[in-house]
Amino acid sequence: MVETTLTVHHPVGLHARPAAIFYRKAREFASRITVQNLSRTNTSEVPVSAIYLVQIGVLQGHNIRIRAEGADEAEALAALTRLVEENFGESPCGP
Amino acid sequence: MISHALSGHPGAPGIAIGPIWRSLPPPSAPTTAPEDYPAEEAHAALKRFAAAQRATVEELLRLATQLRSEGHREGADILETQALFAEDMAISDEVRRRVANEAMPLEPALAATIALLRSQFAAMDEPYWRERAADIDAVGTLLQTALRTGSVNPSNLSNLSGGLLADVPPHAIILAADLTPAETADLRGQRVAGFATAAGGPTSHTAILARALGIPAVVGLGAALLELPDLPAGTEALLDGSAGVLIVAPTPTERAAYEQRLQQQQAAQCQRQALHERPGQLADGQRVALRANIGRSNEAAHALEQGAEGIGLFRTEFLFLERSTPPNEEEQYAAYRATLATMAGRPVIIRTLDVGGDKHLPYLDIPPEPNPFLGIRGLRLAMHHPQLFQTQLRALLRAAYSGDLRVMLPMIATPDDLAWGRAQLQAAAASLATEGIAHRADVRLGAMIETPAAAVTADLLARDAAFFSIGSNDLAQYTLAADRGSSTLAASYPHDAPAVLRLIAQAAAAAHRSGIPIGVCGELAGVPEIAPLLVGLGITELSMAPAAIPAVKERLQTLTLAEAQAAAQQAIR
Repeated sequence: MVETTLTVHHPVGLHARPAAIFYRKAREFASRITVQNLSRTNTSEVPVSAIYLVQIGVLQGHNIRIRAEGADEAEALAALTRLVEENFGESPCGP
Repeated sequence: MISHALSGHPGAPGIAIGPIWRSLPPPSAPTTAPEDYPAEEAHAALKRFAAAQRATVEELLRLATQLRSEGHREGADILETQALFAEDMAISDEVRRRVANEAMPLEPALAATIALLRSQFAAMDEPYWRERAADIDAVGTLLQTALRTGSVNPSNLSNLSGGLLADVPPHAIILAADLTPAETADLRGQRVAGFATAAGGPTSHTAILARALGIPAVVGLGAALLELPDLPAGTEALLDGSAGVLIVAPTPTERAAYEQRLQQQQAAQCQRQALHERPGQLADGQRVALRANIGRSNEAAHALEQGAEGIGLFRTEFLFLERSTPPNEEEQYAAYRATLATMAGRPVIIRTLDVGGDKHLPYLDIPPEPNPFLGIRGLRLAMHHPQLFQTQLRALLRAAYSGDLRVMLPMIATPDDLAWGRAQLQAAAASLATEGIAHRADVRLGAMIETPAAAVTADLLARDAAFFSIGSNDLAQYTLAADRGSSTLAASYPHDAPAVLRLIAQAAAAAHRSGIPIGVCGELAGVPEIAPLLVGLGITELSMAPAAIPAVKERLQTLTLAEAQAAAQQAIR
């Protein structure tokens, strides 16, 4: 099992398109991946899904812990870390 | 006859007046008590649920794709979010818990799960999530329908011969308990004045489709709609989609008021139509080409609908992103050709691949850089991957036969950059000629002006470029040294700061002296207040998001060239 703690910088937090992109990326891996919003003490560690992400309410500036467990756990963690650090690789907004 | 006024949620804007047409009620919703459900093994129930989820997801994605290709992005986004919800682990886990651990029958387990999630969402602080509660409801309804009937669109069931809309008179206002996605989509082919449903909220598929189709609608009227008494054939209704109001059997006064509003609505629509048919121009007839920025080939049709006279920026990144291998020549050729075909001879400016270290392309080795926006991006990336670039250029030259294609190079900083690009284009043409593959070798090659260097030496670039297009977003970023992604800096360092406008003016002057056209394809072009300033600085082409075209077109018509020039001079002082 591997894990990391990150801060989410994207203005909408881990919601809407960023959440969908995060979720789709997580699905590419065989490992079981969970997320916990460390900035909200009343939420728990949850699997990565659209509704679970809404339930943990990650906003801009919140710290999250991502855990991955499985054959491709290192790759999964690296990919998701990169997504968060690069603000979810959203398409260029224009010229 | 008494007039009945009912109130629900706005579904889609617009006034409608017409005879009502009531559809048959659907098969009754499950009011069965849990103990009356036939016993079912948990395993079998969960299999049934999984099948219902799959059917629901498929239907939602199908509709979303259709809407997106027609330019209805917001509706498509909502339906895609609902598709994610429909197969969400949070729903499956909770349903499984109730069915397997609490031995609940499937349908009540689903209903309880939906109710629970709905209340969680409704209790959230942020309005965006509160609104998602309606999406949870919408998904719950679709899942229950799929469970009950085996399909999300059961119009082949019960007593409906020929489907819901077989006998609807033209210009009717349809009253229904609910409309399935297919029935709502079918309304497109009918000349329906509007519809009202008992079920549904502002983001239910019914409302989304109604907005996409432009059919006035009111949703969520509830029991009041179903409990309307029997009314004689031809009874009229008034519908106000924006207000969420339905008035059945109106009084003469009520009808007269709505008639007046309907006339105003139609007049406004005619005016918009007339505007749409005119090309972009100032009050004194000075022409300004109004074009569209698109990110996918299937957005061209929507651009035309909004009045685009051409494509000023076709971003090609969609062909390269989110895949593990690069797009081959055939795939690219097909995409470029399709866009040219849709645009039917109107100019289409295609920008070659513009990505950098901030994006991750698994098939490209982009070395990590401390400042990707100042690094190997745009044309520089092409220099590091000449084969990739050649493939794109070949596809473009081949597609050029299908219309008026112009190629634009991103991230130009020196005349050598442009010279390299031109040499590559010539090499691509030569290789196609050698292989005997049909292509056009005389394609116009232009430069993006998005670096201060390019703006300041536009006179040098103009010797070798057929046209310029100003990427004002990046130009502003590099000129004001302010990260364009930073919301903190945006207020203090706007794209229309005098420094940026002066560089635009400088580039425009150089373009004019060399007799080449110059446009703006950045955000500024689509802002009605700023578009006239750009024209006043010498810009003759504006390219923007399709939705922005009508407002800019309207604004440009309010001033003459002299007035635009005066305003521009004011802005750069």
